[in-house]
Amino acid sequence: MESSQDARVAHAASRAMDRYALGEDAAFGELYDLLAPRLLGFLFRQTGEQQRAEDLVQQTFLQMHCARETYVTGADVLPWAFAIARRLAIDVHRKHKREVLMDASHEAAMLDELAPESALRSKQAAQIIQATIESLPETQRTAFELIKYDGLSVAQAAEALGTTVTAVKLRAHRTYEALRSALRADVVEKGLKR
Amino acid sequence: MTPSSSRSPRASLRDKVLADAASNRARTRSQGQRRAALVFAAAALAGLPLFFAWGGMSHSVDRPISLTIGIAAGALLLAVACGVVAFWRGRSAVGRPGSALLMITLLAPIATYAWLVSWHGRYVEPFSRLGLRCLALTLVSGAPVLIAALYLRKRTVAVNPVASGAAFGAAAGAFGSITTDLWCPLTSSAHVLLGHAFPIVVLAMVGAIVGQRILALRSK
Repeated sequence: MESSQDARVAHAASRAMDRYALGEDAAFGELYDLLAPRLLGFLFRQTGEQQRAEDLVQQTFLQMHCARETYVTGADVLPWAFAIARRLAIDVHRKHKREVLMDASHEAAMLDELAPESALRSKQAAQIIQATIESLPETQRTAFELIKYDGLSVAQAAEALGTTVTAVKLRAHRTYEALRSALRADVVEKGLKR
Repeated sequence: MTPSSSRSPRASLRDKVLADAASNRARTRSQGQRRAALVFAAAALAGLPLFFAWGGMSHSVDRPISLTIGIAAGALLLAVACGVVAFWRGRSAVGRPGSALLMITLLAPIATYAWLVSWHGRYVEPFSRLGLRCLALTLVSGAPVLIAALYLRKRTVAVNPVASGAAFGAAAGAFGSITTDLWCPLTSSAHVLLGHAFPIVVLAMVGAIVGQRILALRSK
């Protein structure tokens, strides 16, 4: 869910884009500062490579710049930026036929700080979660990631994906169900081994 | 929740992005709106030479003028409704959901057919025709509107480019059929199907096919 801090950033970014679309060139730097870290996080998860993710961030901002004449003043810029980033990531993925990797570094860093036994259990759970998410269809996976990892609200995720709020809720629910089933199956399997 | 996946880009990326923007000129919103208004106005007028070359409204002179105006007004309302959904993105910079675009694509030909056929039998139709000239007139009047929409939104559609192209085509066809409704005095089912509804389907299909190639964003 979108926190109040995320909402403030989204609001500030939307107003910066408004000003940029109306011709205030200085607002573009402000827009970059507000959006680039989030877009880079999203694109890094899609590509698994820092360099490629940064290239895509650059392209996303160039597309936003070129399409500023079509930007709807007063609109929420976040879904638009993520929709452009996602489309570019899909396009690059198709061109390069590379596997989409998941960002496990953040989780790994957290897990290293835990006690060895619980860290092992958490690592295994994280691997199951990662594998389950990777196995999902792209639209379902992205809907889940936009809400869970990128801090978009359900409405923003729906807009970014060009679908309805109900459809995004359904995709997220299916993802949670898939994760629950995978983790439950793992627990049952371990119980049988003991 | 602060997005867990936020990452810090290299400082040089900011300079690159700003340099990109500085070296690529982009129109502002007001410049874009002026351009869109001009392009759409030119597109709307592009079908009129054929309309006048084929006799203009004198071709439908045998139908009471009040009915001609009533039919065309209904077609105009439908076209505006389709145009609002297809061309205007409301409060979203991304665009309408795919379901809304699909609904417009289906609604435009069906509503056009139902609207015209509902007038059948209210007056004596002066002749009967297969509908090939109506087909041509609707295509010639609608195609420039579709081309204008594709041109104005070229490489800017991030989601649903196929559905957007189809909706553009259907809305363009609905606009094209206004001219045809002023020109053609026939409302029989078979004629309306071929001459008035079918060209909207054709434009929607062309829009869907071309939309994927022209509207969709591409990486460089």
